[in-house]
Amino acid sequence: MKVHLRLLGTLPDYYPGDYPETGLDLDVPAGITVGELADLVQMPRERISIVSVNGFLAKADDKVPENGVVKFLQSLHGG
Amino acid sequence: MKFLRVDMTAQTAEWQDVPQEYEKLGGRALTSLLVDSEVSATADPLTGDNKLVFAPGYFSGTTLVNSSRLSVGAKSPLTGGIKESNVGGTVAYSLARLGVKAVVVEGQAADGKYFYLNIESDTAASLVPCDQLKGMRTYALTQTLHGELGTDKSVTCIGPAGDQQLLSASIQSTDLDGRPCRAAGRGGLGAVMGSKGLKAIVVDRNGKKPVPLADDKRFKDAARAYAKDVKADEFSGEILPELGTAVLVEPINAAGAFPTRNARQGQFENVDKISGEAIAKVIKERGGKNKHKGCAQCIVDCSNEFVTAEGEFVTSSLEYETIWSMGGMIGNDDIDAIARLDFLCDDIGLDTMNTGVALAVAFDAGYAEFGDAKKAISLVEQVAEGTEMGRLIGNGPHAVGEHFNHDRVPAVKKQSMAAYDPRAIQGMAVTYATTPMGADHTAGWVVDQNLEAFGGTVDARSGEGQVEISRATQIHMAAVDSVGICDFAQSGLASEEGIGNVYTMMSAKSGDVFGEAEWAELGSTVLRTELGFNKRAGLTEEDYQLPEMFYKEPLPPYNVVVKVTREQMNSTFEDL
Repeated sequence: MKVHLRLLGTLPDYYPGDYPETGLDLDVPAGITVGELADLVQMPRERISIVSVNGFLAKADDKVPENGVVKFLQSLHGG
Repeated sequence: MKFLRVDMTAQTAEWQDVPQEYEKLGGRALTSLLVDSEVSATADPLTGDNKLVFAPGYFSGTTLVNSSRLSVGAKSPLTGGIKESNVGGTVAYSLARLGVKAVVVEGQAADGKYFYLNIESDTAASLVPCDQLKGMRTYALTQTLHGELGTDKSVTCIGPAGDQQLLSASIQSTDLDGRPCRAAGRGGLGAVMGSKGLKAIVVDRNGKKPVPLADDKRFKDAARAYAKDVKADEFSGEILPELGTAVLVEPINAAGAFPTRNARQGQFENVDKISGEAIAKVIKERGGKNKHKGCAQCIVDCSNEFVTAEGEFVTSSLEYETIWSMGGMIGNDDIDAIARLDFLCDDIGLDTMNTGVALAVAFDAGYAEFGDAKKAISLVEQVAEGTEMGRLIGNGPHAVGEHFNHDRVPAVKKQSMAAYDPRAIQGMAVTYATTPMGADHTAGWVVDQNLEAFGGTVDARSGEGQVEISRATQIHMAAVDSVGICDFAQSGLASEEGIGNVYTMMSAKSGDVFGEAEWAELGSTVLRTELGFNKRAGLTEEDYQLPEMFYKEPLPPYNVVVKVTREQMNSTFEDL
């Protein structure tokens, strides 16, 4: 199935390959989880703090739906 | 080090040895304890009975990185309680290196007379008459003062909003480039400064006095280790320099916690246009500056310079809270308009959050359409002009709500909330409601515990555990605000070893034994003092609650309301 993945913050710097500004269109196995998607694109899980799938927060074990838009975001500090 | 006591009534500036009870305090601890001790809680904040206290953090002026934070304290004309608002830039470092522990401004100049305070050393300070500067905007004012006195001066000042004693008036302070773009924005402290007849404080930046340390080597070793941790951390070492605080836009929006159109939605559909990634790209393409250094002693460089398509300076620094308040909160996706509004707030001397939310409440009440950036700019310009509508906007969201008889006012103690909707991050509900400061995000920022690690260590949309997290963070932050460490360098104290470096520095500076218990007691003492002041000022449990809208209106897309009960809110500090 197809999914669209966007890497935000400085995560594109850790993508092993050329990261297109508009994000990655990927063919992935059906039923893939968010965590498995991170592994698939070789993005270290510890670099990812927040994930959204179709605009909703997701956790590592949540499944990615077909044509889902996934965003990987980074750690937060501040105020 | 010394206190500088400035009596605006008598027009005197006198040096005083630091009273013993304040010797080992700085920042928020110093301002809050001094205001509590010397200002009647029932005083009218805009009279000579109030005192305005400026205190560098306890670590300001030392070798510790990211420690040029100045706390400003007084009784707030906005919240009716005690207030501490802090600012970066150069002023805290400059004061500390002149040997100035605090500047205490009291009394009130007669007949609307205006002065600026010129601090040249720890023996030379004077009030200079400046009626001609009343009404001047902060950029022109700074240029004038730098022209007269030299550019090696830090300027901390008010603009037309402070001159008019409006309740959203900020105190602006110059950055390393000499621009008055750093703000002690919250609580209307600019109005207090205006009421005293004090337009600006000018501080010489050439001070070389070492800040006294009980154990110089021990302090420097711990400070060096702290700096190493700040640099090594992904957020402060990589993300903030590249993208600035605007990097928060996407994740907070993803969490459904980005208050949009006066908090009617939790996600802004055009977030791609105003995200940190989008802004950094625009800045780069136009020849502006990302990774800009705004504050003395900074190694994070989270500031930026936003420019026009032609490369002309617009504002510095365009930050997350303002991108929200002048963006999503008013339904505006025009980044150039957001940048212009940010500049105007700095130039007029306004809290960008209270002002943006005031606009949002006006728009929500039907005064204009959400997304009308031209109207927003016109209204903020009117604050400087002093029109009836301008004064209303300049007095903040509560005043606007009252004027339009509109009850959707997202504020606590009349101070607007910040850029985290309390329904989607329920820990922020507790912080907004229970801090002595009004709805202040920095008083207890619990976003990371609610959202990180693939969904947070607590459930962001549940009330479970949120009181405990907020309480612990508020105690911690009261201590952080007292030592004067920048929020964005807190990565240096995130680990057990990191906070250990802070305890070591406290011990090495004070000569006392200092550890976890003393840190918690410092924060608790500050909060107890502030809560006590507020109680004597007449604030009740009702003043420590969120507005009804957060309990009654489910927030899309998660359609959740605040679940922390009023009783739970009231329990937050009951055994402090």
